[in-house]
Amino acid sequence: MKRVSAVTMKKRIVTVFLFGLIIFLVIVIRLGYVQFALGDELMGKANDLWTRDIVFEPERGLILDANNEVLAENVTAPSIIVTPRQITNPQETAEVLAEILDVSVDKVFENITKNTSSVMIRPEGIKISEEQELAVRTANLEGVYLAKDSKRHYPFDEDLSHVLGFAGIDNQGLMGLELFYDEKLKGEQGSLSFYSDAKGRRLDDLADIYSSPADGLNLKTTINTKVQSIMERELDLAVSRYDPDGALAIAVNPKTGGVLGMSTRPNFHPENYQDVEADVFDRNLPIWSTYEPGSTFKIITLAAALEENAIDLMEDEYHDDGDIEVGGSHLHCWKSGGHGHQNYLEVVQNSCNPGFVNLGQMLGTEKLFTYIENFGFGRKTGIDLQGEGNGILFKQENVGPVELATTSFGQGVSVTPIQQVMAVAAAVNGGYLYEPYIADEWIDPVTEEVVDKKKPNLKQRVISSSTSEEIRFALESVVAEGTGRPAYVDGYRVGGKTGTAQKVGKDGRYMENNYIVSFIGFAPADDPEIVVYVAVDNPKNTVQFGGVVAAPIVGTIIGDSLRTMGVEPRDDGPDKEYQWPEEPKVEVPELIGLTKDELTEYMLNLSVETEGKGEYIIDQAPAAGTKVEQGAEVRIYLSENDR
Amino acid sequence: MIQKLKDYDFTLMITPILLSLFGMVMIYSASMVIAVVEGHESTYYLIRQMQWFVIGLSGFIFCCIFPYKYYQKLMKIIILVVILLLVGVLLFGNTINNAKSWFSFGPVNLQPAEFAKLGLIMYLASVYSKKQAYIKDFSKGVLPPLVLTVIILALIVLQPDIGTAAIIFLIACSVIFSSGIKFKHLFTLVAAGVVLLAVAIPNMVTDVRISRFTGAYQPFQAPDDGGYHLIQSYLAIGGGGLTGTGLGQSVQKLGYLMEAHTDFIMAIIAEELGFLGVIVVIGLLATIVLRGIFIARKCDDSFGALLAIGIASMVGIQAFINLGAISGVLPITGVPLPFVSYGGSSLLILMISMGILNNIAMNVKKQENEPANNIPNSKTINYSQSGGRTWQKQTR
Repeated sequence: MKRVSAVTMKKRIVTVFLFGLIIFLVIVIRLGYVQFALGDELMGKANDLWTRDIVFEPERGLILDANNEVLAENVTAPSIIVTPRQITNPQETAEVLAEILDVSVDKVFENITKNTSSVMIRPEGIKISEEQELAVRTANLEGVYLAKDSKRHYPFDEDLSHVLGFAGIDNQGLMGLELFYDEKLKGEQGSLSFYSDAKGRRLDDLADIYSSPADGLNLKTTINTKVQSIMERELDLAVSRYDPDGALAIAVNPKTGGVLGMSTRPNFHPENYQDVEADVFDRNLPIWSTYEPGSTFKIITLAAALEENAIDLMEDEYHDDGDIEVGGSHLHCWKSGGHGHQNYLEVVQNSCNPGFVNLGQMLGTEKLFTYIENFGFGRKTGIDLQGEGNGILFKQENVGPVELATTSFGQGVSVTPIQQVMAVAAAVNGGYLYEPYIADEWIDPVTEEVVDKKKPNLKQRVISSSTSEEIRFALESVVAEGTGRPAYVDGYRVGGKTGTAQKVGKDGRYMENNYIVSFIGFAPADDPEIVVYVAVDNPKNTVQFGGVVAAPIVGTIIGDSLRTMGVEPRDDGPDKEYQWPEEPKVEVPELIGLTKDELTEYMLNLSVETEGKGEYIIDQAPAAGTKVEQGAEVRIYLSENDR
Repeated sequence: MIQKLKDYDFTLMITPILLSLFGMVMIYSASMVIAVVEGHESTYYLIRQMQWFVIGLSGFIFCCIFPYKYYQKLMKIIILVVILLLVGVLLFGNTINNAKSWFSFGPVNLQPAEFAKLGLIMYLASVYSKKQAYIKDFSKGVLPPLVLTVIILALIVLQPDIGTAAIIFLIACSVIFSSGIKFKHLFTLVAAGVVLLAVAIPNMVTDVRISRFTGAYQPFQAPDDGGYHLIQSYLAIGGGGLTGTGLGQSVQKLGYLMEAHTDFIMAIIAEELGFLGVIVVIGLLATIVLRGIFIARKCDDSFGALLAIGIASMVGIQAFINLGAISGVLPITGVPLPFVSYGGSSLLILMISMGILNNIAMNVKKQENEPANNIPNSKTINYSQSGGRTWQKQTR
């Protein structure tokens, strides 16, 4: 019995021996697997764990105008970095810092007692002012350091604010170009990585790894600071004169689509964007707002009609008796009684609505809408800014005779200002529809080499150059002889078109006495270098008419801009209807009996003072037929009832 | 009574000492930063380990010459002391890492569970060698010694020290298996053990333990929680490659890997000395274990054989649990790597065990060297000491 048991025991012991051998083999294999198979992947993780990075912030790229004028740059503004471990008396430190940064002691205390290697006091301790910097240096607190940091500075203050946008506290682009091109502007962070132990102390015998920061590229824009300043000045004037709900101006180079200037009112200072409502900096009106274009849209109808050879400007005639019947309803001309017998050039000069309805009818829905779409309406232009609107067109299958008629003279469609500008630029530049753009060149900040240059993006040829020439001629005559006379610039051949658009209120109906008045102009008419569009939303204390409010602004902008741009003055253009210096007197028209609405397209270069309230003009001074100086004041008396 | 040292087993003499010395080098490398961080001299842990090594060496030499068969005579005293220590530590022990496992005498910490390991091995070897005659009988041969085993296990689980309890359970399995019991009985026992565990675990489970289990199998899913130690261990091992970063060059020991000098010392070895260093250490450990089993195989005395198996199993199982934990095969239970990890009680017990194993080896060699005329002599010893009652019972 004992022997049997002993044999069993020896067998069992051999089993245990083999089992032990297997166990050790398994462990060796497993350790080998961890060491070699998992090795590389693990090393990456281990490296991340061991290294501590000191981040070197890249310099954000500059934004420049077309002549290398700086629009956005960086200025030194240090940030406070606190190393909690080194602070011996947190309470005292917190009190001092709170005093300097003007924050609550609790907040600072909470921050500087965190269990991390370093903390910042956000946002007050970031990018501090010079006075605060001095105070921190003077206080000389243990564990409190000033880190080199920079903040964005915009030398032109409020100018171009919506286009430039602004960068946030970490130099990240938040709005405008700063946001749209953030990736290129911000550059790459650099770092000094050093091996450290788990507590963050540096290990000296392992080599540091330094990767230098790559500064952001400098952005050279198509903006011309001088043109921009002129636009800003003129909008400021318009705001102070008319106290409008809003205003906007765009200047574009029609030969490339490059934006020369763009401005919005109300505007803001990019360095203090928090001071205004988000609606203000969110809404870059030239690309964001959509509204009925009004008469400026007639340029498109005209272009379509000329391209399709529907009419001859000089030979074909149209008789306007003040009313046109479309689909059973009557559409009135803005001038009661109509413009009478006119050729089509005069139809354009007079901005005669029935005349344009007639053009639309000649073209038909399909053709007119094809042109409208070809000119870029109803879709984004693709400008390199965020927040662009689409605009709204009638769906072609829903267009009846009335819709066709109103579209012909710019009602019932909704467009953005930039769409109009690009469409008109195409109409006058020989027929080339360009994509508008602002970012022109990307420049390496170190080598100053051009890394990337934008090529103008021609989207489509929309009309022939001969049609374009006719349009330039027609629109030049609008300024010389028609509704656009206040935009006339001596020495430059200016063409353009007025627009007065009713706004649609919240209830979906047209608002009373609330117009967006606009003017789109270009010059020189023989070879346009600039297209300028100005719209003023609900100007007060004036006749709300594009020719009165917007045209002179455009005229001034174009005149001053072309001079600063060094464009040769022309002397071969059509003269304004009078000869300088014998300024002809103007005959005061018969205004009694007109409604105020009708007046809006009537007044040319007289300023109007109103008395009383109501829709109907019951009296005027001076009386009709009186010859007065240009720009003289005409007083009208209003009443709720007709006569 | 005192055996001559001339028959000493060279392998069993030199390997534990080599491992311990190597362990001290690694303990110094792994602990110098930790020691300084804790406010000691950088050699703090090294010196304490050296002191324990000297004590252990004395124990080793003593046990080399002290005939192992006397342990059987002292069995009652040994068991009594073990149980008293285990009860005492539950009453008066010092709590470290949430376990009441330590007696603290000033700077010296003693871990009674370590002594319980060896005590239980001796006990099981003793009883099952005495019961060899009816080892196939479950109720008479197998069951009675288990009562004491369960009591000791329960006392350790109460501390709670699940790691040591698991080791003791596995050692017991190994000894009982080797004693020649029927497979049927063995399975019954294992099943009973599993049931007991199933009952005990829900009461023992804490979030920490759960996270250690989940941490072992999905470490990267919970990097900040249970998986932290294992990830750090992986990173250390993975960083070593074939030849390592060089002695003293470990980065993971700088506060990333907790317990770098104790439970995770193999990870630091892997990092600094690479896979080759790991192979050498595992080779040395395997040498001890396999040599122990080899001696058990050769030993004609069933007490000696089971004692040797128990000691070899102890070293092997501890190594397996430790290495399994650092390589992510087993959950982390806080078991030190035999001889290499920092830990006084553990080293002392291991050195004593090695002494005992050496003594058994010397006995085996003496059997072989003095074949014919000494057999009666040895039989006499057997007869009078251990075999006696067996013989009587057999002849009845």
